[in-house]
Amino acid sequence: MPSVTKRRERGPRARSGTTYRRHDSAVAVAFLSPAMIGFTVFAVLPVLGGLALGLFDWDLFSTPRYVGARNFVRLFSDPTMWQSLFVTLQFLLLGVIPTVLLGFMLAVLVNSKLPAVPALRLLFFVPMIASSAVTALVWAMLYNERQGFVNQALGVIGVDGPNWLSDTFWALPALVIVMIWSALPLVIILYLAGLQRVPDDIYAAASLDGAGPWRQLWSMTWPSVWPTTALVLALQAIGFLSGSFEMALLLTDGGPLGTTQSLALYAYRVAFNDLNFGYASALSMFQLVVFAAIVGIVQGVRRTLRKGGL
Amino acid sequence: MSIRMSRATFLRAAAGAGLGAFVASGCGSEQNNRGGAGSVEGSHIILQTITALEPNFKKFAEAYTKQFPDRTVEVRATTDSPPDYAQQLATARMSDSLPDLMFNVDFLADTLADNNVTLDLAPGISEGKLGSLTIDDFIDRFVGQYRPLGADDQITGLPVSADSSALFVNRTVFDAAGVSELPTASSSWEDLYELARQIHNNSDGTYLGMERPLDNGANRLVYGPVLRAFGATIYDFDTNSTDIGSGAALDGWRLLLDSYGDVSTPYSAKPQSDPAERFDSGNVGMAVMSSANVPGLRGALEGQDWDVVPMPEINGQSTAGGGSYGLSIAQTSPNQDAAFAFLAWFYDSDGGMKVAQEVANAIPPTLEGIKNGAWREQTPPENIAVFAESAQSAELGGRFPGKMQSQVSQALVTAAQQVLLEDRSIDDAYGEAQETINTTLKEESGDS
Repeated sequence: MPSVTKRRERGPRARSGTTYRRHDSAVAVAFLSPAMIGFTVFAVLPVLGGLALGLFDWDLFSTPRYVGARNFVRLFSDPTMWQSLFVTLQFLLLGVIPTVLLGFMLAVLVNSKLPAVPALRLLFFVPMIASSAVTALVWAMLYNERQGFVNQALGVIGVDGPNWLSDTFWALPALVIVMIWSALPLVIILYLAGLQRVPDDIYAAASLDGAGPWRQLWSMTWPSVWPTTALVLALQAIGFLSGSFEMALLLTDGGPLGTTQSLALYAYRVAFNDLNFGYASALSMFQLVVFAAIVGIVQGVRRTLRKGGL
Repeated sequence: MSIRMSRATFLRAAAGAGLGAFVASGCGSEQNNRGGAGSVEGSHIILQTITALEPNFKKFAEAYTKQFPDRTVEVRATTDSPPDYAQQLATARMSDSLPDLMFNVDFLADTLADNNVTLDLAPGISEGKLGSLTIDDFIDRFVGQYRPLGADDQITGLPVSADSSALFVNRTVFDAAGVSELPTASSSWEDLYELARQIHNNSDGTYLGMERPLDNGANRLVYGPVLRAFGATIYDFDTNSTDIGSGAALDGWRLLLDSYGDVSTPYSAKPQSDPAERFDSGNVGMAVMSSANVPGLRGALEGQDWDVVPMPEINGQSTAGGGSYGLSIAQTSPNQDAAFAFLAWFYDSDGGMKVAQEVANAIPPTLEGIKNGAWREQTPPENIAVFAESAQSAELGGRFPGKMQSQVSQALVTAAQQVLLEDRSIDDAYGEAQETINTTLKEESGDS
């Protein structure tokens, strides 16, 4: 194919740098534009629309009334907003670290060659195929104060279990457990992928140096999957920030006394129960800022640790 | 082609796009399609309802077309959730695609009326658009739910069924728990609680005495009539206020909050959370429920012996509550006469009301239907005629203006939780709830 050969011979050097860059930019734009259009339509415009809506008082039916920054100012004097923010952070703090650690340990277990592993592997992935509604129904039965499995089991060891989902102290931890259970399959899959990339040689070398299984796990496996951990941390931070909405709605309705009402659920209530879409939009915008800040912090920690050689 | 954009230009463009999207979504636009009478012959109307009622309305539509082959009714339904339903109506209004006829419900009726979504039916009814039916043929208290607060001369919807409450009793559970005494028409609330405790204690908790009357703390079907019987005013339009946290109302809350524990079950923040604790599970001795539950119970409790008795009285006043959903015509409908023609057929005792009684066990909201309707012949429950009396005396009030209802419910749920979960005094908790509601009422009306 002489013509092809000839074209190759001419190569990039034959073109001026400007022509090449222009051509490259056009290709980049062509490839990026579908994603950019999608991002603009489904992310940027709704955010801007939400921001604009936050400047109005609107109940869906009547003509919106411009109120300036009133809805945004109200945020800071609204005690329910602060309580919901606190609940959101509680979900994050109680949920993310246990999910990461538990997911890592279960992935190591699933990755091992123990005899019961195939059956365990199947069980670990069950939460992934269960819808939120089914998950909520099953866990509501497990948590039932009178006949639920959890309290029956506690009764066997002489402990009088609480009314889990209607107790101001226990409702949030109970929901966090459900969310951890739901999140584990994805975390295990990600860690499994990370574990597959760890070469077996280093374990053989470590064994020769006298490192036991526990030492190998924390000194070799855990640092080796750090990139996966960073990804899992970011994903779970987002997951617990947003996922607390549906579980709380399904299992506790945000109660009791708002102890499981996250910012997202509060915004939903203000919008669809109180028909106050302006303030709900202001709440959502505030939530967006909080989420961005938290994800930024996670990314910052990740970069710092990477620079530190982790 | 330059793909560079200064930060300021980008922000301007983005803000413009956002506001554009907001405005284009219909927000801010006044409704300008005013609708019209249209013609009845050869008409095609759209009726929007909630998913749960879709099968029934499809049967009504079929029966209507069978009787009038040149007229068709298209039934649409997408959700059961009232907030989602309201949102869908709003979206439809923005895009000028509101249905001709729509499901309406008391707590939404004011909002729809205030915002010119629903047509005032009163002039049309006066002109005879419901055939031989006049507004006097309906049970006034049910029609009253669709009279906007402060505009009693208007009617923005007509009730579909006159639903009211009674005490549902499962005799099979009483027998299984070894409780021989059954509730009667003269039983008091305290008597019911005592029977419920016997069921619970005799069966060692296997059977529940009573479904939680207040549910998560804001069951209007129960608290409205009980508070009224104690002399409280749920909502006073003239003063735009409530006294549900003071004086007589506190006695009502005391009575109702006594039911958690060994009378019913411990408090649950989520309404109707556990299917095993509901009357239709067959494990529960008694429940305060609406006549709307009867068709479902016939299937769920097949083989069990259950019946209804009138609600207890307090101070000589029945504590039966009630409510209904209704049908409204959209102001923007171009087929308003065709929609009226459907309503005229629907409320005819030989037309839609006959079908409604057959397929949905609906209790007609008309005086004639209550007195002589076929629903009275359908059993169980044996004592179904109880609903004829309770429909005419039930407390349907407790209606708050516009979008206040959800905030009232939230305040009441909070008060119940403070009392039951944090041992706060009833006086303090409900006093604060009253203050919260009254403050919000003032804010909403612009009085503050």
